[in-house]
Amino acid sequence: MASTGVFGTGGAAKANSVICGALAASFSIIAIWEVTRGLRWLNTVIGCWLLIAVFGFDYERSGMVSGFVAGLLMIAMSLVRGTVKQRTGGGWKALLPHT
Amino acid sequence: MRVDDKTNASDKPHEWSYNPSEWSQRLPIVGLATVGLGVAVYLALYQWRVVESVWEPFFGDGSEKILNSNVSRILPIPDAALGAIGYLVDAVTGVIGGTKRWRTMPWIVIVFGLAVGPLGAVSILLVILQPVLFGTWCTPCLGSAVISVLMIGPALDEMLASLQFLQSERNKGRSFWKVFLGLDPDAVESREGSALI
Repeated sequence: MASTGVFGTGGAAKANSVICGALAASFSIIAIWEVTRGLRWLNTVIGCWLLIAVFGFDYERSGMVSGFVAGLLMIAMSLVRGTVKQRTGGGWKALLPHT
Repeated sequence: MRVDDKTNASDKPHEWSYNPSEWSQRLPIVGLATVGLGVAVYLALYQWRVVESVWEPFFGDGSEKILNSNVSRILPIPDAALGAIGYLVDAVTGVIGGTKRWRTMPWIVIVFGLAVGPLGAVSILLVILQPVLFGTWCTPCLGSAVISVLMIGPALDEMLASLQFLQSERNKGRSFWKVFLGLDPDAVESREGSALI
């Protein structure tokens, strides 16, 4: 998100960066809690999307590098599950039929 | 029965290591909602021009631009006033009920979760619109967005406990609505036995 201001990204590229940034930050905050930790997978998706999107949108070179690195870091960090100490009755999966 | 324990074992949902309806779990969320309510009321007062100027430490006239934008006035009342109502509902539904409310009154837990979720979602949407449509940011609005997103995780664990409880009671053949509204005394008590083994 900050990169759009730093590098002067505009247009659709800027919208893309801001949307990805805001969503990723929000999912990260929500995934701090164990019961909603699963949201980290959405950040894996956003990270993968960024790796493709930096070539598809009208990013200038610095914005492209920044977006690509951000995507890589997001994928790497979203794959770490972190500690889950609490038991929550099987979690959200328990709500699915026949479990 | 170990009713004297600070945390009665029967208060925990089945197969849970903690009780999501405990005050230590809920009061921080209520606190956040109260702070959010304060911020939203302040911003609404500015939008109604009860307050003449608005605080903006980083982005120049960013707050003014955002809070006076056409998007903020799509609805009959300013968007900050709507946010204030959302925070108020969060705080009130967060406080109502005792530490067993995940099974004694699932409806309030569900309303609480449903109130926290959309408020956070709308906040994220408004954050995205700021730079994309108006090319600037509003610091207090960002603060409010962070607060509303922070409440989602801790509110949803309680909702999960209630949903699991509703499902297991329905599997036992009890009426969903009676359990949902806390009107089935057998369902309310049914956990006591199983958790004290």
